[in-house]
Amino acid sequence: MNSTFIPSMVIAFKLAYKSKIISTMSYFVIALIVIVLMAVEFSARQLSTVSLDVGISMIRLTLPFIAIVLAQELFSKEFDKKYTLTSLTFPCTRSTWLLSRITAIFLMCAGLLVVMSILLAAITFYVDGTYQQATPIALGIPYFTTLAFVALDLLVIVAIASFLAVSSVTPSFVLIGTFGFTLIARSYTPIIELLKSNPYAISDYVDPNLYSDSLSMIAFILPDLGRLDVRMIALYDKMVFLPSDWLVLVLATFAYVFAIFSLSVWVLNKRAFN
Amino acid sequence: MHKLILPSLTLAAFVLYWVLILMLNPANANQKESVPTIVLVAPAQVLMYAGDRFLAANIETIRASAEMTSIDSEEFRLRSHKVASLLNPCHEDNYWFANSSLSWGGAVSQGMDVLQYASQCRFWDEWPPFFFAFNENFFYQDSVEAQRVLKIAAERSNDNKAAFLTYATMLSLDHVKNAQVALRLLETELKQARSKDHERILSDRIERLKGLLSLREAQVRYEEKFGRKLEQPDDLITSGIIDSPPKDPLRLGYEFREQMFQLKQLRVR
Repeated sequence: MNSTFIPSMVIAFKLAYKSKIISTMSYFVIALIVIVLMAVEFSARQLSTVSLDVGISMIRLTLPFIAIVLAQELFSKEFDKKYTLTSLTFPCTRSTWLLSRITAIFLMCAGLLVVMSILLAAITFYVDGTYQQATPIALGIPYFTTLAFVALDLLVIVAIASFLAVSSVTPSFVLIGTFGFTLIARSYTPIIELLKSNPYAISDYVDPNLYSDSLSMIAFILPDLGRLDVRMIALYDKMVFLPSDWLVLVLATFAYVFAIFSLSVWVLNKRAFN
Repeated sequence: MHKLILPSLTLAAFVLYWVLILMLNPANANQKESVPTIVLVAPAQVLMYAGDRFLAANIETIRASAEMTSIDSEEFRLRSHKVASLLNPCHEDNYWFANSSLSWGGAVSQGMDVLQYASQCRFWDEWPPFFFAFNENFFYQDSVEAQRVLKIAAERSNDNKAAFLTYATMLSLDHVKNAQVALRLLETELKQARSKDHERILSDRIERLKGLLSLREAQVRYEEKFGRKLEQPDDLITSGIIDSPPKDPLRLGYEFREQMFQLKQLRVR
């Protein structure tokens, strides 16, 4: 790390501020409050669990969106307007320029995560006071653990969005590519589990393991974001719902993120601006 | 002159479109299907809700509970509760609604599937195994299996342990008492209900159970009066024990099998 890292990050924050990202974020925060309070109205016996459950779903849907918008703003638009040519004439290496902006994107998304999770905890605490449910929720360490896993999931998405932004020519590919990646990386584990347990989904003549075994190979290409969703520990206050191999899962995810970061730096160093 | 060609072509095309739409009549087209009948299979829902099976389970439960009161939506609710249960078997509202709307609405085995998933996932919760055991005894007269599951419920419970174990010893009660116990259970559920819809379906089911209770009591009176077993349910009316068969608000009715009145179950296509 060199002395240009922090100034470069400050520029990234200013650019993001100019793109009115704060107001976009606030719409999502308002949506979180409204949707959670509406979903609670439908629950009969587990109001606080539904509040927490729907809130975490909203947070997990919001964060990739903000990460994509910021990646488009801080990378794709820069390339389009050829601002990079001036940015890179400053005494600042390409890798510093890239990593400072990725850090800025992650910090802004993480800030939103903190705001939304505190707000969600407040709403859930209020809902919890109105109705005593049989199975209590956990707003302490289990909630914090769930959010830490959400942040790790976010880190992967920021890495992918940045990689697509520096390697692609059109900004819309960042949107499509990152959403597609998120969708598949988050869905494949639950889908494999459901295919194994649910014989109705596939024909009687096919062994359910046949599909799931070949589908499991996808884990070599995409990280397992589905298993990073450990919210059940907070929803039902039962730590046993945490996967027993969570440490390996976390390490594997970090290794993947590191690989994508270095790939992005490599691609950007190769990229010709003219 | 040709300045006007494009605007007028645009306008003409739009007018043609509106005329054709009027012929299709979109307002009438949707009226046939008032009930949302489509339930996607669980893996497809995971993909649809961006890999979030918890959100999918919540939305599916909300859909099922929103259609709780209409009778013709029973088959939709069967699939909806089942899929929600696959997506998140721990969902408390789902098994609670499924038990009151399916098990007591004529779809006993489907309701019990949901209860079984819930018992496995909610390994600390005494209510899914208790309801499972209760249904096993009341609908299927399988008191051995019911006792086994009641013991599981008792192991999980602190406050109700004694009550569950006492109930396990009373399982082979006579049929009138069984129906009375069931009635008390539903009335307790009604007291705990938090929404108007849930209250309504529970009072319908209580009404239905009261009809069954009156039939079973009439059978006892008949057998005491004439000193022989009731063979034909019509004998109750011809002998003057009851004036007319009780009305079932769920329109499923009652049946007489193995010399005992039962709640008739829904035939699932």
